[in-house]
Amino acid sequence: MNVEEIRQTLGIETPPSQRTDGIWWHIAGLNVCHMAQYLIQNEARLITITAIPDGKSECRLIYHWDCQGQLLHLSTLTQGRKIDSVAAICPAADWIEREIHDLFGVIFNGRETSPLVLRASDPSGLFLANIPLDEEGKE
Amino acid sequence: MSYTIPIGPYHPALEEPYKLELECEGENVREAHLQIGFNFRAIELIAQSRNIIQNIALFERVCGICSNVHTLTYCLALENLLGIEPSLRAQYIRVIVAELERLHSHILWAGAAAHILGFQTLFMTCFRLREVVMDLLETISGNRVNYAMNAIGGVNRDLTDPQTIRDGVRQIQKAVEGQLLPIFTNDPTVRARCAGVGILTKANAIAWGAVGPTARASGVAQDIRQAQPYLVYDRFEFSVPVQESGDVLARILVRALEMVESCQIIEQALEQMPSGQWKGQLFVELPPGEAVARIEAPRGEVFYYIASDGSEKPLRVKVRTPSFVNMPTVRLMLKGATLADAPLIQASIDPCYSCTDR
Repeated sequence: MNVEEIRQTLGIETPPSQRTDGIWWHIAGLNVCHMAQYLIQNEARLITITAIPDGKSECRLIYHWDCQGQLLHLSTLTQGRKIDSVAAICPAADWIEREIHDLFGVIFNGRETSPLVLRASDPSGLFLANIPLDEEGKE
Repeated sequence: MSYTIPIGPYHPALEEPYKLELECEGENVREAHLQIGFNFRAIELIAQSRNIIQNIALFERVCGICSNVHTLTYCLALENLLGIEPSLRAQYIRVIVAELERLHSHILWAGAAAHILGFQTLFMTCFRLREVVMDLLETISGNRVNYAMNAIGGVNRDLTDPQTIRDGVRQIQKAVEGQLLPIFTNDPTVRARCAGVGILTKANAIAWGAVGPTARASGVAQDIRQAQPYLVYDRFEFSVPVQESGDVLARILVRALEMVESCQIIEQALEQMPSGQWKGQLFVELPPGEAVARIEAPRGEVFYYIASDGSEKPLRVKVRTPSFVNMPTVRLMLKGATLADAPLIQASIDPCYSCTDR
């Protein structure tokens, strides 16, 4: 994994945090589609996406990648609890995004998000039970 | 004529609750739809209301078969966050239990596959062999299912009778090499039912992020034990079986060959294991921060993420099980298959709905 090439390609200005459990990078306004395209081209594998509520209205999403055996964690914040979907670029993201929509009410732009672990009649945002959301994912 | 066959979510032929809708054209499956979530337990959310010690028992229950891998990965993630490393003896004990659990999982699956194939003699052979592994795990831990072996920074029990483990593992290796492998490799019934059936191409395995034996049967040569060694796996000589054909037979062979490798890893671990401290340490609180850990479970990579705000309860725990990423590939395997092969194809990834609906 060439960290400098990733930094230049994704236009990241902040330095990463290099630790025993991988390289961690938080990037405000990360273009997740660009990230997915670049990493898939370089034979990286999307392990999963972790969603963590950030305040009452946003979520921090961490995209965990396996880059030829090395771990890369790229995180960014949703905007209005929305973020672009990477499922069209990376099919592995399909179920992951649907589950995050179910549990945290994040809207993934550019795709239909049918329920995965919830049933069709259930409201999304199960893990935000104290923050009721409407159909658009707004509080 | 087109028709749709709904199977599940509760059906005598399914071990756990999920729903499969097969769109068929005559005898051929044209499209398949999977539905999960019928047993969703919100374990990740429950973990946020318990302290880090209580959560070990909680994560032991993510999977009913591979209970140890979840507490192991959880403890490894906590240890990364705490910046501690278990003693060498504890790491060897963890490896031995993890490989016994892999043997148990693969033997159980081989028996289930034999049952689906209608090969009842092989089913009985596998389940008799499974008893040997379960007895070994009971010898070490006192338990046959949830072993409760992992603690933060160590293990809860020492391994006091290595010769019994060695004898049992040799018995298993002899049976795998002498009975299971020849049958799975040469038997005309097995070949007729499994060769060329339910193919997952290498390109699709990579694109859909398949892991473990499912990926390795499609030519993706990744095993976390070698790609990013954890515990003391870098001290053992073992190979990672890979098949290229991507069919049900390849998935059977990869698991059968992995059983032999597991036996050899356990033999080496018993030989090398040093004496010394093995107990864990008592940590009540975590430092603020976040960490991850991943291991090679029997079904593939297990991944845990933990975030802490410095209190005794985690801020967030994310659990990514191998079945969660392998299961969507069943749709690709089923498309174009014959209806009669559908049960065997969906079983060939060794799906765990308990893990997926964690």
